[in-house]
Order: sequence, then C-alpha cells, then structure tokens
Amino acid sequence: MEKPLLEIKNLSKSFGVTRALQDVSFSISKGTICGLVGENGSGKSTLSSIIAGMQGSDSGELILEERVFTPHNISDASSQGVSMVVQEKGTINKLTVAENIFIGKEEQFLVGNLISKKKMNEAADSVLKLIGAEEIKSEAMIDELNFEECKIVEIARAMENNPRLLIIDETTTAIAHKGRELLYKLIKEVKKNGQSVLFITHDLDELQMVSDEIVVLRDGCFIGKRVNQNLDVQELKAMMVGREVSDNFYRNDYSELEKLEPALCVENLTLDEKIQEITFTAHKGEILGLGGLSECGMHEIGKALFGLIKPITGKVTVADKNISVRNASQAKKLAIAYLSKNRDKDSVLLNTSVVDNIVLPSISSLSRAGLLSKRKEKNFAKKWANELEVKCKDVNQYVSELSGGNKQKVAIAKWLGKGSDIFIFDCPTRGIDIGVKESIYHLMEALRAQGKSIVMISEEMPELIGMSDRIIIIKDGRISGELKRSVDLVERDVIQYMI
Amino acid sequence: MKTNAADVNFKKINLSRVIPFAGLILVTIFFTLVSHGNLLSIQNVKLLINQMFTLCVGAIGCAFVVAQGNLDFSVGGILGVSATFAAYASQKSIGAMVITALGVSLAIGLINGFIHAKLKVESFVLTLAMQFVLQGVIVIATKSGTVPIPFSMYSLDNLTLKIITVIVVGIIGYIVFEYSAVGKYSKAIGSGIEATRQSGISVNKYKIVAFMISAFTAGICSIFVLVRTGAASTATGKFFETDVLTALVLGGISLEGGSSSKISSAIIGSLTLAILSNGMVLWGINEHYQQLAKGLIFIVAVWLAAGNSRKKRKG
Repeated sequence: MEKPLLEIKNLSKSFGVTRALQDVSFSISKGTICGLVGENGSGKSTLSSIIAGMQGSDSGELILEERVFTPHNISDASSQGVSMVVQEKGTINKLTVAENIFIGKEEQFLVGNLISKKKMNEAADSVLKLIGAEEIKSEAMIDELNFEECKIVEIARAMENNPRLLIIDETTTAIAHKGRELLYKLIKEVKKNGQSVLFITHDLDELQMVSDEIVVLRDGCFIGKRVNQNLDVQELKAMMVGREVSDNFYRNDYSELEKLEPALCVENLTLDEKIQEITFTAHKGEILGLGGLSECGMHEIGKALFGLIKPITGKVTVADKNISVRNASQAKKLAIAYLSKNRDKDSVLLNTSVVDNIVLPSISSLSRAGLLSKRKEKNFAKKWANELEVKCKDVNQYVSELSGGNKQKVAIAKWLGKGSDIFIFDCPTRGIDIGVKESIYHLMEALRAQGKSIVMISEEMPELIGMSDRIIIIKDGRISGELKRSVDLVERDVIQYMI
Repeated sequence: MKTNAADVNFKKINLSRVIPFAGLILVTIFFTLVSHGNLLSIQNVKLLINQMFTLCVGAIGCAFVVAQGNLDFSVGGILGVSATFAAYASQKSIGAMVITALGVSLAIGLINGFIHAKLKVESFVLTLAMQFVLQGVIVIATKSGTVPIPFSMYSLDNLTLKIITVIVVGIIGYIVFEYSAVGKYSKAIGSGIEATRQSGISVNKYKIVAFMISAFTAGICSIFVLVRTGAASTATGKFFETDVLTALVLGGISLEGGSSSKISSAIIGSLTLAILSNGMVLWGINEHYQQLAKGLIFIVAVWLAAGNSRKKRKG
C-alpha cells in the first residue's frame, strides 16, 4: 500500500446542535481516486469543504503528506495543493474565462504594473487545451457560457493549480455527457501523475466506473471503506441508507396500456429557431419519458407544456377540456403540474415554511370568501407532507433547512395537494439520494396506476428506461426517435438517437 | 464559529420581531425624558395621532409592494396629485372629493403596476421617476399655487374619524395580508418570484394589485391631509414616500420582501417615526437639522434591514 496522501483523523464539526461530522477518520492514498458517498446531510459536503479550506473543524486534524494541514481559506488550501470544484456555480460573471481561471493569481502576468491580458489569455488557452476543452475561448465572457461550460472552466482553474488532491463535489450532476467524459479523462490523468482525487457523487454507476475505493458516510459518521473491485452495490446502498434497499427501484412491469386515452396533446410546437415541430401525445396512465442531451431542448419543451414559454407556433392542448395552454396560471387550472429541473430556484420558496410552499398553488381553491385560516392551511400541509413522508421538524420549518430530496417532496406535495392530473417532471430525481429517489419512483407508479399522466424529462438513461412506458428522444430541438417500453431496451438503443 | 442554519433562523425571527418593539420603547422613553413628560401630554398625544395616522395608513398599503421585494417611492406624489384633484372636486361635494381622491390614486397605482409588471421596469427607478412626474403634475394642476377646499369640509379633520379609519384600515390590511390570496402571493413573490410563477400564480396580476393597494392607501391619506391643511399645494405629500418607507423599515420589514414580512411593521414603524419626529420638535432641535436627522435615520434603518437579509442569505 502506498503512503497516504491525506489522513483525516477524528474530524468533528457541529453547527449548533447538529453534528455534521462525528469523529471521522480515514485516509486517501497517493495516486488513488477515492469516491465519497452518502445521502444528503450525511456530511460529505462539510467534510470536503473543510479539506478545501472553506471552513475549520471543531476537533481532529488533517495530515497532508506527513505534515499537519490546516488551511485557513480556499487559496491557502490551493497553494498547498488541494483544489476543489464545487457543486454549485463557482465562476464569476462579468469576467472573462481567462480571468476566472487565474483569479487571485494575476501577478504572474504582470508587465510593469499592468496585467497583460494577452499573456493571461495565452496561458488560459493552453490550460484549456491541456484538459481537452479548446472550444472554450479564453477571452469569452463567463456570462456567455452555459452552466456546463462554466463547470469546465472551474475544472480548468483547479487543474491549472496542478493539485496534489483534487476534490470534485457532485459536479457531474450538473453536466451532460461530453463534460462528464472530459472529467473522467482528467481524473484518470491526475491519477497517472501520482496525484489523488476525492470524488463526491450521487451516481453509483459513475462511482463504480471512476473510483478505486469508496468511503461511505452516514449522519456525519464514517461507515466504512470498500475497494471498488468486487464491490457489492447492495451492501453499499445499505451502508448509505442504513437499511436494505430493494434491488431494483424502477418499475418491474412491462404490460402495455390497455387503452390509449389522450391527456395532453402537443401539436407542431415551435419555440425558437432550434426547437421546432414537436408533436406528441401524453396519455392517461402513462409515464412518457422525454430524453436527450442536456442542451437538446427538452427542458424548454417541458416549460412550454406548462405555459412558461410561449410557442411561436403550435399548441399544447389538454384533451379532456379541449383547451390550449396559454400561461402557467391557466395551466394550473387545467390540472397540469410542473416540477422544474432547477429545484431551489424554481420549485420551492427556500426562506419560507413547508406550509406556505405546499399551500401555494391551492390558496384560491382552499379559500372561503377569499380568506384562508392558518389552521386549515396547516392541516392541509400536514396531510400532504405526511402523504409524501417529508422529513421536517414540523410544517413551520423553513424549506431551506431540508435536504434536497425532502425539498423535492415538498415541491411534489404542493401539486398532489392541488389535485393535478398531468405531471410535467423535469429531472425529478436530480441530485437526490437513493432513499428519496426510490420513494419518488414509487409515487410515480402510484400516480400512473390512478390514471394520471406523467411526462418525465430526464438526462439519466437508467431512469428513462426503467420508468417510461414510452421514450421520446429529442436531438437538437427535434424529435429523433421513439422507443416503447421493453425488457430488452438498453442504454445503447436510447443513446443512438441522442447523438 | 458558524452557527447552525436553524439557530440563525431562530435568532433572525426573534431579533427582527423584538428590535422594532425595543426601538419604539426606547424612543418613547428617551423623548419622554428629554421633553420632561411633554411627549405623552394629552395635547401632544393628539398631535402624535395626527402625525402617525397618515404614515400608518400609507405604510400598510406600501407593505404589500415591499413584501414583493419592490419599492414604491411615488406615494408622496400620489398623495399630492390625488389631493389636488380632490380639492377641485370638493367644490361639488364631499362625495365627489372622496371618489376623486381614491379614483385618481388607484389609476396611478394601476399605471405603476402596469409599467413595472408588463414593461419590466425596475420598481425603484420606476417609482422614483413617477414621483418626479407626479410632482410636475401637481405644479401644473395647482398652477404653482394652492387649491383650497370649502370651509365647511374642515369639520372632517376629526380625531375620532381618523382613529376609526386607522383601525379599520389596520384590521382590513392585516386580514388581507395574512389570510387572503393577495397577501400570501405578495409574500411568495418576495420569497421567490420564479417559484411563485411556476406554482401557477399570475405574478404580474398581483404585482399590479400591490401597487394599486399602495396607491389606494395614499389616496385615503390625501383626503385627510387635504381637510387638515385646507388646501392642496406643491408641498402636499412632500417627503411622504421616504417617511412611509422609513416607517416600514423601522418597523422591521425586510426590503427584500418575502415570508417574514408583517403588517405590524407598518404600525410599529409609523409610531416610532412619529414619536421621533415629534420628539425632536419637543426637544427643540432646529427644523433644518430634523430633516437631516430623518435622512440619517432612514439610512441607518435601511442598513439594519439589509443586515437582516444579509444574515438571511448566509443562513
């Protein structure tokens, strides 16, 4: 066994009464890729942020190559060879790509007293080329880049530092195939150079593909470390959740719909110069998967189904009522529900209680004489929070304090409470831990059984294949293929229409 | 050490509720002492009620706009313009005066709301510009002079009527703010406009409604200001907009809006500001310095309010 690069010794950290980390100890060897998994709230992010110098620990210590390592801030950590790519957006708008890569390190480009933009851009271009992202231009403004490209710039920034330890915190949930491939390639290169990677992810398949060893945290405690070869995935899941998890949480029925009753008809929908001529019908009692690459236009189509984007031509019609969707408030009245991909910004009000969130779409229908009592609100919210088993102290707790999975449950609860019939779910399990993921799939099955219609937009192949009655694949803004549910369906079948 | 999110939340709620109360009590005690008890003399309390009345009514309406995370810097102009047209209408009858004041104010609120919601002009810039426009309208409509009301209407300047009005407006304001869709949606819009829109709420409609409520209460105030001063002039409604916003902020409202917004901020804040302004007079502070002091208080209050939301963002 190689000498450890980083030893984590008895690390503890509390926030008030919450013990985010309790006596965590393990080590990361040189030249290994260490996966870090655990459900939301298990302490993964707290641990990685301590290692990256974003916050201190209460007790315990870090030893980096036999020297005590107590980074005071991010740049202190990175100067000692520990760089991190964070989960959320870490780039700064209104600056160029090059300025973002070399932020805090501009002195190296000084010519006299001024910074040479030319030198900086050249250096940035070479870093981008090194990591295989030469299509990103160093002089471009960050604002012009999409989220995925911003993440690649962040990766470039971390790599420019030539880190001994690279920490990657759930970056892949934000990026699509191309970016992931690039990231995996980089991780392997880092390893080849004898450096190490701490890789945090929700995606167990990805974890198995990339990492050498896997550390599991649960409720702030170190649960165990496993070598990736001969890994028992069931055991790993059980370690994360603290109980046995069923083998396959997707649907296991392959029966066809008995009768095809249309619920939502999309006709010749054209949203912009890219997304054109989309026509399909979602049926009652059907889970219709909408798949494709992140930028293929499926997310915009989802918004248009709920009236959030006005089509240039074409229409979305609720079959039962034969009324076309004009805007979101009318869509709600037509019993359509919508769950955005961007949960924290679009689906829930963060600094607001669980009650206020669940009640929001139903306020007018619950009110009598224009007024709604607090008790009625609370009972309503309790009923639906219980129905979905939202984990919260009580319904007055702020949604910002809940885990990602529970936030998503609150967002779904508000639509179930509204009594919607057609559900547009955009990436419903994105960044959600296994336990909640499973319950969301069960819920979708239950809705399907009740004859509700679900349009599930997803970037995850297994989810599309495992849950959908039918998969429509969007490529470059147009429908490129349609696949029926089948036992034999494999990822390759879907991907061939995507790229 | 960073504290737990739940703790921050706990402190935030308690502090932002307690500080305005504590401020009110402190201000009251301080000015009672320096005025040798004159602050709470019957004569002065009547004066206080007069001063607090318009502030409070105006702030209750304005709270709907602030809860949405917007500002209304035009209520002074709305008050002035409504009062001017109402003064012309008062030559006909009391009814005509009241209807004109309320109608004119609602119309301006509708214009504010429409420009903000549909044409997407930022509320601060819009209402500040609207304030200039309205001041221009007052100058033109009063022909740079005054528009008097009939002497008979002076009797409307009646303390009992004001107390009844402020109580009625307060109760209705509270109920609408806490128990109706308008209030709930306003707070939701302030908490997260996109999430509110994606919950199927017509955000634009409720933005317009909020600006109309804010303008409407300014319209109510215009009637009482008019009968108290006996005429509309270019000075009518001057500084009302800053006073209303200062009162709200002193009352502990967050200028970011959202679910922590409370209508009680309007009541506590207007009391505090009325006592502050009145107390400075009793204390014998020069008039010019009073204006300066009010401006400084506004800055401090906004800074404190922003402090609340800074913590909110961190927590």
